[in-house]
Amino acid sequence: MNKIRRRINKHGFLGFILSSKCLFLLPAFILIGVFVIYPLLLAVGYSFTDYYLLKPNDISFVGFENYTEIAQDKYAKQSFVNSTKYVIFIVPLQVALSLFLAILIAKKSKVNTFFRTAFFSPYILSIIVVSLLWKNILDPELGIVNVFLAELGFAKQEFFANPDLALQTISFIILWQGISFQMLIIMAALQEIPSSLYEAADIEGANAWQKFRYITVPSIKDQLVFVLIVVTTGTFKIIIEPLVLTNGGPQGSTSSILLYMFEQGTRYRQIGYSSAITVVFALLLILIAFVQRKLVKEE
Amino acid sequence: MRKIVSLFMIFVLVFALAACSNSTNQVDSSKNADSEEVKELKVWVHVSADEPEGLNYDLRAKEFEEAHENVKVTVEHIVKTGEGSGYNDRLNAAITTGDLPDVITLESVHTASYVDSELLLPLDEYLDQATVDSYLDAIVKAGSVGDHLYALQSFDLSSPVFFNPDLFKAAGIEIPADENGNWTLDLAWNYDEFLKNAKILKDFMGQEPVHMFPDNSGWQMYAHSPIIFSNDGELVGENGLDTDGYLNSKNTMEAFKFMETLFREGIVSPTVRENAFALEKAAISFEGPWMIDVLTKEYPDLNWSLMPYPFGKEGHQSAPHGSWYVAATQATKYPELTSELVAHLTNKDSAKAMEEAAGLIPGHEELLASSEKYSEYPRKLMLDQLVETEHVKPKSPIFPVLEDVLGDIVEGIALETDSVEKLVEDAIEKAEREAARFK
Repeated sequence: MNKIRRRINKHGFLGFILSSKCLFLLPAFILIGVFVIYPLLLAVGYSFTDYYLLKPNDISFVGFENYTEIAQDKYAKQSFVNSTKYVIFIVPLQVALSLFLAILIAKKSKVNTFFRTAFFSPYILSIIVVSLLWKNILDPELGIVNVFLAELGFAKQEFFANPDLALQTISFIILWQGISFQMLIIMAALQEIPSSLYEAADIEGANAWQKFRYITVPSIKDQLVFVLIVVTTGTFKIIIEPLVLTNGGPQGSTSSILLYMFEQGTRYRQIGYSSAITVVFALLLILIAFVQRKLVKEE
Repeated sequence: MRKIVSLFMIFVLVFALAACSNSTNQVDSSKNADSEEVKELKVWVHVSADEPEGLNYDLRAKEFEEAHENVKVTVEHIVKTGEGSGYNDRLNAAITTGDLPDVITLESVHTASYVDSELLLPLDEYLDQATVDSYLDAIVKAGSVGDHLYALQSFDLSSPVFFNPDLFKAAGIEIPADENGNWTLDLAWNYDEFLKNAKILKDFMGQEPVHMFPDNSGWQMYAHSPIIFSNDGELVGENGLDTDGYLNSKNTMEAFKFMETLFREGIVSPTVRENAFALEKAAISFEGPWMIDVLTKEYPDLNWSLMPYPFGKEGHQSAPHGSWYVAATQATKYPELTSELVAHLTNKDSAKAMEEAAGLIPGHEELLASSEKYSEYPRKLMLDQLVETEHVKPKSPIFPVLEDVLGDIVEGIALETDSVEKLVEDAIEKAEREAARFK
């Protein structure tokens, strides 16, 4: 710190910036400032106003009115609950399954190379393509799943039109697409574990579960925590899948926080209210990241 | 060395900024110079240049330029790709930055919102009465808010109700017909007749005989709101904001109950059945006019015809209609010229071209008699519906919410998520919360 202060005194602040490594950070700072910090500050500002999209020159300060309205808005509450449900359905399964698949195909072999490519392929597809693909597969009349169910004598299922099924169906699609990327991260970590640890465990007579519990998991703990945080925050930010597949329906049963915020801003044109939801959502994500970090640190 | 590098960097930054700023100024100054001589009018449309509608706008714009000295019309095609994207995004951004073009296209149902925000120019103040009178009443009504006309179009749509004459005959239903054998508007079934015959069809077919899209989308307002309007029901009060007393009025509730009966009696499936009508799994279908082409080309063996939209109360027949309209914005520097351009973009030649290219109903009185496509039944029924039935879609700044709550109600009725009373109560609560922002 003293070194920096001395250099600032010597070259002046601008000189310090231009002559030091800080210059290399400038593009990143500019991008984050323009596309993240500035819009976020704008959203905070707008959240205290009645900004209506079609009347940009008629904005009034309304204090905490938008925030109190969120507390009373049952549709906002429903979308918060839905987002939490997505997290509950997706996060544990995605972390567990990506770990399971990574262990299965971690060893280098020709068969595993094929499976790695196969498992990773959904990830490179666009979310919209994946959504439309599953919409066709699960179509109640012509979808292959329902045709198959009918052949087996089961009743056809309305995967997207049934309020009791739609959220789970979308969760499954998100899970299916997202699993491969997490699997790669974990697989890379698995390949870094020295084989001598497993050899020593074999000599000691450890069984497969003991090797997993006392060697594998502790060795990849950091990567697992990373996956957990990324999947949790990513799941809270779901918007495209419910937008494309159900538009938040039926009866709002698949609407997420982001989709509700988007709807309020673009469809109802209530930028002030939509900004307030954004701020609450951002605070929620910060809180989750903080709690997760705290728990990991304590660990 | 570091000082030299620092100075060089500062020089590069300053030069870059200066270069940017200079180029902008040059463009601006040239614009100012041009604007003294040439009146530039910008038009934003939601359709691509290779669609019939997009081509039509380009052609009319060129004609307008040729007819006016020192006028340059630029048509920009910004394709509408969905909610919050493409055309709507661009329009919203332009409203925010105060950079609207002279002419825009907009869904006719959103005219009231734009007028409430003082974004549109009252065309009737600049166009002569004869010009306004040449349009169909339905178009003038749809483009008007209060006492003024804000948007126009050279064509319109009216959604047909398809029926399968073979299935009707096989089920023993006598198809209503006038002396020429046509099922005309005055022979439309009321709710009871519709229900009675639908039950006969159901018994004969052993499945839901009527196809409707029950999911929550803008389709509910477009295609199914006439069920309510034809029962003399309303969704919102005259101020466009009050829903209590309207959405739950006796007549509106009766219409919702009628819909409930359709779903509960197994007349309509509570979920979407793709191609049910084309595959003869439904004998009646509430679909868009574009299905005429689809059925003709893709299902040539299917015997189909059109029936009038069923109604609730005598004297209140209604039918779906509405499309994208053309409007002048308050941003224009040349209100009279811009209003004239709107009239030109939607003139009789435009109507003829759109009828020829896309099969749309001409929006000018004078062209109806000579219309080739709509002079004979069953297509004439669509024209009759457009001209002779009521069109009372709400003119409201909270239209998007009304569209959503109607969708919520119909979807809720279809899926039986709650009683009709509770669904309507929830809908009123949602709409009133939004309306409170405008009161």
